[in-house]
Amino acid sequence: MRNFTLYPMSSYQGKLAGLAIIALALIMLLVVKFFGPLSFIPKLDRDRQLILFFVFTVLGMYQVVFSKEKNEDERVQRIRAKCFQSAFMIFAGTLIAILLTSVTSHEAMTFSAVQLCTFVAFGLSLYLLLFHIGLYFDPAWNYNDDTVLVNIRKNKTFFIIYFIAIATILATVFLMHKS
Amino acid sequence: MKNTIRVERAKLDMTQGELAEKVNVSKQTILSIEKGKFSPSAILAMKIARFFNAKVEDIFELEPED
Repeated sequence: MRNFTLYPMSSYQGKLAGLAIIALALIMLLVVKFFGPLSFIPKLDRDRQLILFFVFTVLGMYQVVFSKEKNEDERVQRIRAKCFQSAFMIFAGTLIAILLTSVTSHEAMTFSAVQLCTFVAFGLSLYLLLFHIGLYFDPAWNYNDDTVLVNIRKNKTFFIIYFIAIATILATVFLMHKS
Repeated sequence: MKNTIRVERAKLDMTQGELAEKVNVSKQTILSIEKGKFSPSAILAMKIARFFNAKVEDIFELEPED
C-alpha cells in the first residue's frame, strides 16, 4: 500500500518555530504601533507595516495549529479532530451571522486587509484555545459526540441557563439600541 | 467501557508514566483511559492487554450504554 498524507503537518519543532514567529511578530507590531515605522522597511508606511506584522502573527498561528504535539498519540489526534470540527462550526457560523447582516445593509459589504486578517486570527485562536483546553483539562466534550437534541436532553440545566443568558444579552442590546 | 488497568498496574507496582512509555502513548492518555473518559482504539487496547499478558476482554469490559 502506498502511503500518502494529504497536507502533512509539521513536527513538534514546527510548533516551537510558530511560537517564535508569533512572539517576534507581536514584538515588531508593538514597536511599530508605539515607536513608529521601522526604518529598514522604507517602502512600507506605518499602516502597511502594522498589517505586515499582523499577517506574520497569523502565519505563526497557522504554523502552530498545523504542527504536531510532542507525543501525538491517538487521544491527541481525537481531541485535535474534535476541536477542528468545533472551531470550524463556530467560525463558519460567525461568518454566516456577519454575512446575514449584509441583508439589512444598503451598501455592498467590503472587508479591509486587517478585517480579513482578524477573521483568520479569530478562527485559528478559537481552535488553539479549544485544543489546549481539551488537551490539558481533559473535559468530557473531548470524547462525546451526541446530536443536538440528545445533548440538550442530557444537560437540561446547562441549556436552560445558557438560553436565559443569551436571551438576557439580546434583550439588553435591543433595549439599549431602542433608547 | 470499564477497565482494570489501575489494578493490573498496581499488581506490577507500575506508574502511569511507565505504562505510557511501554505502550507508546502519553501519561495523560493512560489517565483518561483509567478514568473511563477515553476509549482506546483496538490497537492500543491490544497493546495494553499484551503488556499485561492478558486477553483484551480481561482488561476491558463493555458497559450497557456502550
